[in-house]
Amino acid sequence: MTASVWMEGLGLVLQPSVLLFLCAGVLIGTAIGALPGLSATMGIAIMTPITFWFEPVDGFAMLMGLWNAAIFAGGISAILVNTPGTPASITQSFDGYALYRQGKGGLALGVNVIFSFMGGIISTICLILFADPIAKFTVSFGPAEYFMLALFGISMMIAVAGNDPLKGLVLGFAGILLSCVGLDPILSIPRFTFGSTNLLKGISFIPVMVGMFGIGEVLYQIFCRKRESEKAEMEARKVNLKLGRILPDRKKMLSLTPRCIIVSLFSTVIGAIPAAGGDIASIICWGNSKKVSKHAEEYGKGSVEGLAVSSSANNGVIGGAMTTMMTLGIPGDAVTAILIGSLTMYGMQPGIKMFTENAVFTSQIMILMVLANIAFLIFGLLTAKISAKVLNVAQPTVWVAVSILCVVGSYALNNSYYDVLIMFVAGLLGFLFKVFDFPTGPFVLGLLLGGMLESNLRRALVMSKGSYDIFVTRPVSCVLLIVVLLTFLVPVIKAAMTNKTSKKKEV
Amino acid sequence: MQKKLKGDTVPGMITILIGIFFLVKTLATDNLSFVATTSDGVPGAGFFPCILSGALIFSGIILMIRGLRQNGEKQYVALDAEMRGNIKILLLTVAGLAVFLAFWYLTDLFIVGVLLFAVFLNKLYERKWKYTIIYAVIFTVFIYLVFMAAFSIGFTV
Repeated sequence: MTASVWMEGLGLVLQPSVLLFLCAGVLIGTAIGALPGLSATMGIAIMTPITFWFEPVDGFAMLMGLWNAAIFAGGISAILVNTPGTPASITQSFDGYALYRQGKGGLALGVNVIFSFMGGIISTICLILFADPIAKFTVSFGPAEYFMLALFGISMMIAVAGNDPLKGLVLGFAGILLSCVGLDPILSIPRFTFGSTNLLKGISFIPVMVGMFGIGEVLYQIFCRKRESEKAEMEARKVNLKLGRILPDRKKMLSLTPRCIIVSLFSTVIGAIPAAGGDIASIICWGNSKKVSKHAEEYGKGSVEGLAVSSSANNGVIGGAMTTMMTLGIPGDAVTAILIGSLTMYGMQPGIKMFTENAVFTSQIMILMVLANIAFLIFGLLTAKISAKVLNVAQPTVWVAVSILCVVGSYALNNSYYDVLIMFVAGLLGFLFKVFDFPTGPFVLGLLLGGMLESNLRRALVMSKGSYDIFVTRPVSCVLLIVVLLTFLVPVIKAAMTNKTSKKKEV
Repeated sequence: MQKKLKGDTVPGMITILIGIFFLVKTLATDNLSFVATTSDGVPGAGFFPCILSGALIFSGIILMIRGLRQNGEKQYVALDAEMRGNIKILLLTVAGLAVFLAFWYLTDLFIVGVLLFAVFLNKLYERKWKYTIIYAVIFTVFIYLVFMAAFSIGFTV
């Protein structure tokens, strides 16, 4: 992308309306992230249909603000009530809450803001630097490569999501099968429409996401509600311990910075791997940082270093996930899956075309990522001491709001009652998946990538006149095929070896 | 007392049934052929659904067999007395949502539906009347102003 593209993008982003939507996104994201039970994915799923009523850049400004702020704000509840606001904040509770108990809550909140910003900004710089070359590399990709990429994305999601790959596999197949509903992508023959005109366009992806991550989550929280522990938690929230100073001193900042830069880069790479999200990045980075730290004994007992590493790691994945999404069209996590749906609604297709036909919009997204990080840094530092008040909102208050917003959001997408019904059914399914311990990731990814998978498989076979050799004779496709096979085979081999070892021990 | 479910037997059976349904539907539809009629060896519109239905049936069988072998050892949720009580609230929430959607569909009165649904849920979650009324009114006005007045989304009062 040329300098003129960047300048044009910057000029369009620095409009008052865009900045207003960005700040609104940061505000909403902070509230969503700080409240335990409300995740960034749920926030993005509910807000995405609403943003279709804005200009694309305004809509994306809100989503970028929301996403970046929600991930950082997940640390607020991790620090103040020992409950991660988002899954990515899990390791922040290890040290953050201990610091709060020691009367250094302010410092913990400050470290969370500053190093989340560092992680976010470094990963965004990586996105800016590497997205264009990666996208250019994909110019040579044909249907065989895109089929393998989609397969790789789904296989990673199946392998990583949850503790049970078989259940992931079942839901992955179910998601892909559901993507077959509607018109066949090559011959335009109706499939499984049962005479309904609504089903001709297929199962809408965004209402499914809204239902699964909105209604499904609310129903699950109602099901698992524990009034006694909820009451105790609310009492704990009312006890505001002394927060103390917010900003770490200069010496501390300088000592933490090099480690956090490395962590940010590392988590960017993790974020770029499909299905490996902020929770995985923060656990890996926190664990490894502990191993090489001079003060390993402090980790988990109120280590500022441990908290800084966790904070950098969870926001560091965002740039990586965006890189995979924008260049290859493969979502790094559930949020980027929704963003793909959002781009598709705007008539854009992630991949090389984002860097040629929609280069200005792509540059705007990247600039918005930078601005979102700056916005939550300022907002987070200014409101650190009052952010604890957000936590006083009771769960039922949130459930009512989320239930109604899910209905409104899914209808707002196309002014379609049919989308609301899809959302409702997806909500029930999302709840059942959670109860029966089925990972939702492979299902939504299957639904999203199913079309890409099928159309590219069949186009590739048309090109090769029905020969499957095309998938092994093309280098990139062949490499991806090997990776896909390894993704499935490695856990099987590992399990077999573990069984063998345990049997030997028994003997 | 904790209730134990028989592993993945039921989810496995449901998976198999879904797979069979899609497979039969594909095979029974003339247009959905496995191989395209246009050129040799190129898959038709039924190719992908057939493969996936087969894969779903196969994985469902494995899931079911695993469930049978576990035979009650697998425990999804430790259902205590409180959680059993939650099931009633859960079902009422789902029913409330279904009634709200049906009310909206039949009467076209969306905003009224939102108000009633908000009151119903708040009372269901044991909030006080004063809070319920204030919350429901403020939230309904918010929905009206933001989505109907500002975004002009096609809801009716």
